[in-house]
Amino acid sequence: MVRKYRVRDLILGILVSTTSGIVLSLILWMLLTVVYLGSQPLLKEGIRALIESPNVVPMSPKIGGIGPMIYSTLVIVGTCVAIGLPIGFLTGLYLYEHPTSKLSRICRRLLEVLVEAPTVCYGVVIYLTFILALKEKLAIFSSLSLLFIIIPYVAIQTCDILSTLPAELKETCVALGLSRWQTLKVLTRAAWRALIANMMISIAKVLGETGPLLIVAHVTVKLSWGPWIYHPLTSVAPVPLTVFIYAAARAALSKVVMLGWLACLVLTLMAFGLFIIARILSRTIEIL
Amino acid sequence: MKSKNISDIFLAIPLLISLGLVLYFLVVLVYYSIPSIVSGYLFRYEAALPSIYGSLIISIIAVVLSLIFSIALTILINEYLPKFLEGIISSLIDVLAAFPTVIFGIWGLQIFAPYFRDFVEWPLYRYLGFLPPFSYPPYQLQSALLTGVVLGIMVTPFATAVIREAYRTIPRELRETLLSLGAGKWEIAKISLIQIREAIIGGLTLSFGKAIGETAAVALLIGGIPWFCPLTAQCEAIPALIVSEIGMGLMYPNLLSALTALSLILFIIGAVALFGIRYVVRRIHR
Amino acid sequence: MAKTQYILITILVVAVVLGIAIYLYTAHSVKQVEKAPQRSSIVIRIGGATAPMYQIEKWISILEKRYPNITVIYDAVGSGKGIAGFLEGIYDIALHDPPMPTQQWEEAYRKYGPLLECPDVGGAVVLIYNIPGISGTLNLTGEIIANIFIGKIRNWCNKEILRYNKGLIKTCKDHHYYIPIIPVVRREASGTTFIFVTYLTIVSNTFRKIMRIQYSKRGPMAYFRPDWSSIWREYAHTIAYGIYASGNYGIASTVKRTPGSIGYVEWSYAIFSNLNMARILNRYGNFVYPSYRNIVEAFENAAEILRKEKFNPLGDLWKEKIFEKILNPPGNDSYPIIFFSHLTVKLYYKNPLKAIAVYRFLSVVWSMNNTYVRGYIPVPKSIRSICLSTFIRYARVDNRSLTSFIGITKNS
Repeated sequence: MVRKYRVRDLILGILVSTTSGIVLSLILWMLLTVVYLGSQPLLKEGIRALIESPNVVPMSPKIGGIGPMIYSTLVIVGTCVAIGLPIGFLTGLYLYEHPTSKLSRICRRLLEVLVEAPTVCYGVVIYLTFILALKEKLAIFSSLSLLFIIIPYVAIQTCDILSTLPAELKETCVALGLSRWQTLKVLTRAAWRALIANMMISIAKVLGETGPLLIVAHVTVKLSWGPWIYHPLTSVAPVPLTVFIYAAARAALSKVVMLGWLACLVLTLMAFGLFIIARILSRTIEIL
Repeated sequence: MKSKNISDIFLAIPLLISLGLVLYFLVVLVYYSIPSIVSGYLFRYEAALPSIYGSLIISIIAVVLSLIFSIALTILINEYLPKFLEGIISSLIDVLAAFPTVIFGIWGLQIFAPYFRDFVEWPLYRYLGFLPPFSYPPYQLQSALLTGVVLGIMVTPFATAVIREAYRTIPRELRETLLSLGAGKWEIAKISLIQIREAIIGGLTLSFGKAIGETAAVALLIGGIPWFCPLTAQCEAIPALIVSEIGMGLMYPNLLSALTALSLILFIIGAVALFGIRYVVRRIHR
Repeated sequence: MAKTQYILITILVVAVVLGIAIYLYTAHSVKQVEKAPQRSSIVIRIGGATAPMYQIEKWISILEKRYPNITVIYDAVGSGKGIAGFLEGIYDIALHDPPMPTQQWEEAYRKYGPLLECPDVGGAVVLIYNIPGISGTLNLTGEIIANIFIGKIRNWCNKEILRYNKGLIKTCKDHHYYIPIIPVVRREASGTTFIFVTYLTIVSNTFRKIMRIQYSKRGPMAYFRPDWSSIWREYAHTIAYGIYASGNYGIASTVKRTPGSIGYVEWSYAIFSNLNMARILNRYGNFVYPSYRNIVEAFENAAEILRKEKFNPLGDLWKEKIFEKILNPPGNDSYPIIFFSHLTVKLYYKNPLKAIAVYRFLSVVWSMNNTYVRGYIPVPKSIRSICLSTFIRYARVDNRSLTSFIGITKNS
């Protein structure tokens, strides 16, 4: 009888390992390609590959870099995070404070729907209402379309995280006679690690988002440095990294495709970095 | 605490902003979709129905693949692997859950597609070509099957994370009881999976929502030809259609409205998949 | 909370802030923008055809080097989207290979006032192919090309093709006289397709009949984006005949890696992607290779034809159908499929900076002589000077003529 179990275990083991092996090796293949091909421009041009703008002249051996794209990503994501995190966080606080009010429940349901919605719809909405009216693809519109992603996520996560705090904490605060703001401050401080970790994850989400940007930003491979960096929010939409990768994937020159891989590497490192910070913070969750 | 004071109202402002955002989104989608429905353009738009078909096909392939892969990974992690390996693979999977998806797209198109076409699609066409889904000669790099497979890989870490979390909530007593009864890994795995079947369905629903809403990778891999495609042919999905055709807005009257209607349909499919299935599952278990 | 975590977080935040600051400083010092006062920064948005892409990018780099306060964004999305985006107001300059169709031109005129439409560069459409084992260059007649793209000829070892291509016979024998042809066509509304399809209607009766039916149903867009699937369903008896690619570079890369395929691209793409180009039978009965000499000869003969036409850059160029007249030009060694790629700009501006920036770009396009990239032919000098002088004369900023601005701000 024991042998029958062992054989079945072995079969399961083989099936499971093969299947997992397939998917893990494909994922590993992708990551290794990103590292290998992404480092080619760095090896050829050094750190300038992160600073200059791409060179699209076919005959010249100069590759250029993805400088303006990194800057665009920082601007667009930075603006979105600066607007979206506070709003999302405070909304989450409200949802936590009034879990039973009708407004809360409706809002929460709607936000849950929005978190899982296809992101291209946000691009369409911004395109129809802002871009057709103003006839310019401004950088602020890219940030606005990303707000739809970050606000529901942060709001729901904040509410959930605060809800997992033990009830005694809140009761103690009330018993001590603290005002609502002070209570919230205490609770937030207690759960600050998980909250910040989730904010990092939300930033990583927005960093990797392409859907709305493909509609709201210019899908092009070449953008040069210029005075537009001084007023990034009001001038024409710069080309963020994700859109650049999309355009580079179909580009004509192989050196542009190589820059696309470099952009992949930069994005991956940013996402990994944010994730590592989130992991460090949330692994040591203590209440006070 | 229920009294309304200044801090309440102050806190309500961000909430109203968020609420306003959601309502703005829904209202705009519906409002701009109406012209094409009323004028019938949406129903005459030849790319509409095939795009919905394409989106569903690739999402179904992705979900089926991620079902297989995520269950395999979960069993592997929880039953077979030593502790230290489990940590590494778990971390890897968590990172990939929020990974930029366009990287899957560029890898899929530039690196994976040639091998996939030569070693998977060509044999399928040669040996199973009599079946309609494989009856298209795969000369081209892009195809619905390729998109479905890459989406499956993309969505697997997310589904695995969900299922793995649920697996951890299985009470230890169950495991100890099974072990004391002399169960092997196969029995433990089977019973554990049955325990968490709700989570599995939930995870798959979320994966379906992710797969159907994915834009960049799909637009790169799917080839953009709207028809009721066999799996090995170039196909079209709604997000890819929107991205490529939205620039043509002013060449055809009502095209923008039709595209908005399609994105509304996409949104509804995603929402229905998410809430509908959860609701049905909850009803079954009452 | 342990002190270590505070320290860790502080270090992280400081590092990030420092990193961004350093990055911005280096980025700033890379681009010499000290001369340009920030207020005069302006962005020009160009959108449209992929055919002149290498040439446009060369001109953009010249412009940006000369005038650092001008930034150009060029969306190579295809002629159709270029025109649509121009109508929407998203692009300041539309690039499209054939002139703008009358319906869109009139709509733009109603929206923006007078327009200037002019050729910016000349090019040729070449047939690129990938036949493993062929010796020598492929020779094709217009009829054969049309039949390939329709689906009547599906095999490289067809009698018709072998008649003109003895170099294929050995390869065909090795492959048992069956090498499937895979045509690669454009997926989006493309001006290059327009020129190619127009050429095919000239040289093939079947194709002309097909396109007449499609034109009657869909208008000019039928030429920008023919319904290949229904054509193949009818003549090749299968939709599973060709591959759709996106952009000129899409066709180039697909042909490069698909054995047995044939596609049509602008000449420069074949050069820079190192692809084999086919010889095409010209009007005088010679198989002509798309070499520089042959294409220049074709353009010289075309210039003769153009000289007889009256050219009004302010008017609707589509009506004259000049793009049809210069196809298949006379000449012993003329390459048959040549075209001019056009650009359309507004003449009435509200923002003087934008008007000046557009003027600077147009002056790079039309008044500089040694800026041409391989794969392109300059527009005849007479036409170029007419275009530029017309723009200078008729461009207005807020009802004031542009010349007053240029005179004052000569150094900005």
